[in-house]
Amino acid sequence: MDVDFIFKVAAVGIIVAVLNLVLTRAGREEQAMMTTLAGLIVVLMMIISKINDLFLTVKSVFGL
Amino acid sequence: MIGILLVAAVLIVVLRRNSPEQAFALTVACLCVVGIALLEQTSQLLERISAFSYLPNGEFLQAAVKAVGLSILTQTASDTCSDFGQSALAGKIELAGKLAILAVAMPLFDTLLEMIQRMLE
Repeated sequence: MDVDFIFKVAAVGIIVAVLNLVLTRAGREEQAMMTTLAGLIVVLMMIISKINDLFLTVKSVFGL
Repeated sequence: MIGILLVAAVLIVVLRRNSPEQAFALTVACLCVVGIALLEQTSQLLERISAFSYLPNGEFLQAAVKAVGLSILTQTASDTCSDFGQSALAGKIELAGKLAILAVAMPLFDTLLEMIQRMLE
């Protein structure tokens, strides 16, 4: 039950959200968009390995 | 377990207002972590259950266990998709899950039909 993974993803999400807000306030919408995309890619890369682990666990437990 | 999920739910609500995609990513992360933790605990249960497979029709038990695994995965994925408004995708995932379970259950139908034919003769 690796809880720190959840909080890591949440931290990245919150940082990206705040950065996005700051950049839009500062009038740089396009950079805000780029930051959001970059943050999303970072999070998705972290999650893909975890999804892979989930599928492997299901495969091994249920003998699929 | 429950505490962690409640905290994660709060974080998801916080994230959903500003960046919905991050909220979706966090939901998927929580699903994976909890899924792995739960499945590791249920593997001992399944070993106890499959110990009963010395009964005559033991191989059907394997098909049932596979169907359970497939349904768990399909249900998780379709609920996640419908949570974020993609009800069409959720429907397609359910369809895929049903087809997979049907494929797993095919040998059971064969033996069932054989039994019926034997009885009719």
